[in-house]
Amino acid sequence: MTIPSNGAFTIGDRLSPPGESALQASANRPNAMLCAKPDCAGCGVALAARTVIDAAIRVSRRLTVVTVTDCLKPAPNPASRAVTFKSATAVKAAEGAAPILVHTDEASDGLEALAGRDMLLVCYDKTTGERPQLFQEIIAAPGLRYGATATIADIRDLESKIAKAMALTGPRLVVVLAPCPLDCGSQPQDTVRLARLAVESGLFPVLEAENGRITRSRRIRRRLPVRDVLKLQARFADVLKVDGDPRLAALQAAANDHIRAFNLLRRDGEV
Amino acid sequence: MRPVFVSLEPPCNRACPAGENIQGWLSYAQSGDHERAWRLLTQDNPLPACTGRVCYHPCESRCNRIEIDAAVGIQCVERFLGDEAIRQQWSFTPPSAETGKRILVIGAGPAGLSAACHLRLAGHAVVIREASPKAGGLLRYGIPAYRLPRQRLDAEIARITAMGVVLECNTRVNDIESARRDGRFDAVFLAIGAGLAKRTAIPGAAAANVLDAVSVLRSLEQGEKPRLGRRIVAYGGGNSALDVARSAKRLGAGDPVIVYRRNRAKMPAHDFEVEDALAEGVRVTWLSTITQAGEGTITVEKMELDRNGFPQPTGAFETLDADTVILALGQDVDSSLPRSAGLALRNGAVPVGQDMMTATDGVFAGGDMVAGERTATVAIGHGKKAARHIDAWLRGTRCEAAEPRQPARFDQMNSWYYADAERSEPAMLPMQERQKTFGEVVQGVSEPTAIRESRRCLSCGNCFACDNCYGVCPDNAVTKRGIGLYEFDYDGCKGCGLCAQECPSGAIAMTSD
Repeated sequence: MTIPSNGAFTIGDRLSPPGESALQASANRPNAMLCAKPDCAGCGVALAARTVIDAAIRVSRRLTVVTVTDCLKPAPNPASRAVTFKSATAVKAAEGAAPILVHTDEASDGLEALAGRDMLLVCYDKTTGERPQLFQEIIAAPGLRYGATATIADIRDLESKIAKAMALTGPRLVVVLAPCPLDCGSQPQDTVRLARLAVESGLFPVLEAENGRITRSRRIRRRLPVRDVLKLQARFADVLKVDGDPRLAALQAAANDHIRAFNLLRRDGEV
Repeated sequence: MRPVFVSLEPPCNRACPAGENIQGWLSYAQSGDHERAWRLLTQDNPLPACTGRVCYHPCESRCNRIEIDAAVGIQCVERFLGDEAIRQQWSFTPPSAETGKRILVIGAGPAGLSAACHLRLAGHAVVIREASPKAGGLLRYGIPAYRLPRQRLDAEIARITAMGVVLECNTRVNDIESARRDGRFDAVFLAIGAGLAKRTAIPGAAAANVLDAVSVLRSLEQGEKPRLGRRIVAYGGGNSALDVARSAKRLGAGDPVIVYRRNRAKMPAHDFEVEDALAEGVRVTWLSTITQAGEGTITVEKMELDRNGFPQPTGAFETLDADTVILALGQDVDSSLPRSAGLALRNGAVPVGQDMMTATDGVFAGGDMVAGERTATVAIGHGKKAARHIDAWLRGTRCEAAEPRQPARFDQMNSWYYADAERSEPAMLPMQERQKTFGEVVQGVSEPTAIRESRRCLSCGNCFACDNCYGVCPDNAVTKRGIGLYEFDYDGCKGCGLCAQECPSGAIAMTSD
């Protein structure tokens, strides 16, 4: 009989062997990139970046990290010696240098650079997933060796996808939902919660794909309506003001589509 | 705003009449550290194999996990630990030094046993005097063996006396002051319970076979044969009525019926006891009072509840076949013993202060003989409390209650992070056997089940080392020094509050600087 640990979805777990906890739970995690801006409280991208870079350098200590965003001050931790940090223009120049990870919140630039290259592109989505283009790229992009979506609400899942991507070669893409309190108009303490609600409403499906085919999706545990995601964000205040706003209906319809398409409400253990 | 770690009082601890640190011992049980769990538990309650069977578990009724799926099965884990301790022969460590003080405990029920255990651990010499042939009080003479097997009770009593507590059975104390003087006792703890069955005058009772539940249950325990006929009526709605009816059924004494003047909702007996009795085929005639008894029948009058919930006569009568009426109408404290120390009862109980001391200096009291809910666990709690106050009084000081902590509320927690895990229910003895033998009805759980059940605990209001705060801080402002040892770096912290929001157990509070 399996005996689930009491905190089964927590970042760490004193009741299970250390290998089963997230790397972020370890007192020895690399902390290779500590980069939130001084005035931004509750920054989802900073949390995502630390998690992503730490997971990547665990796989490959010689790693070139290219940071393409104004959001992060790439202040590499002097403790992480083997990691090189370069600017966007250096992406092309870095070709051939072993292995490259580009992370950015400007998805379109990254996707252009990705085509045909042996590179892992990590895109941070600073919203709550209501712009579906990114993850559809994962499904439709030809020649994409590996594609996945993940969020900062499930650190273990994000780490395992980065580790998996790092072990492969060819063009690889991971889209990470990392809400920004400024962009979303949300409270700083709600950043992780927003990412979780986006997943649980179906707005942002958590998927994996290899060679153009979806291979896995994470099921929804406690479904809730899209309205519950929007009401935590000031930018949607007018959408929620009037009953039956078509924008709300459209978002709910998109969420319903995802749930249907990826079978997100299947019960535990069902495939 | 800045985050601080807090330690709040979980609702289970708060509800436990014995004051156990339930969350604390569940935490050890989670990792299979059963001995440590048992030692922490028994710091407060020395009789877990008993309470793990007979307690009404107010802890479970208040458990925050109810808001997720169902309460943690605290009682089945407590019973597992109590049984494991007996299996492994874990014992209490006798005191390393004697204080030279002597305490007389009168009554070896749960209150007396609990007090004796705590006083002995504090280094005092303790003598228990018990009027019955064996110790246990109502644990032995009131609660039938199918709810509490006697070898469990015996093992837990023996563990206490093994520390050097002197137990004198078949020894009735008639005068407190002379017993105290002759025995050179420095203090006395009265714990004689409420042993007198309440009686009510029923016309015709002289001709009928009218007994009381207290005596019937005691006779059964002592292997005597009470005069039970084939048509037994138990009169009353408390646990004694159920116990006596279920026992009679097991003895093959026909089809016992319980007659109770109000309805099921008003019945003082605990709900799951009623369920178990009904499942065994005990029948209940609700809203009825006995107005007349005869040789082979009784007359009952149907009642209805008024606006205030009190039963009122309807004038409708019924005759029931009954050759035995067992009164289970509650119990009174025998006032003769307290009077010998100058103590008068008030509202049927011996008045005591916050320190469990009576109006007579150095004479303390607890259990069913003082005001309060009459359960074994409450009595065990009284015994512990009295022991602490007696110990302080003997040293010439007072025992101050610890500063109460803020309660841990479910709405301050983040329930997302807890595993989906349904509550386990213990197996029951097959119905056939339940109706024919006194074998234990509710079974124990296996070790994996006990561990699994203890892992359902949410650790309300207290850190359980999940690393969420450490992992979720965007500013890397939480340092991890070891398992469950986190420090906030207030220079790097921006006060975003993510740590507090994502802490499953609500162990982080945001405070203004």
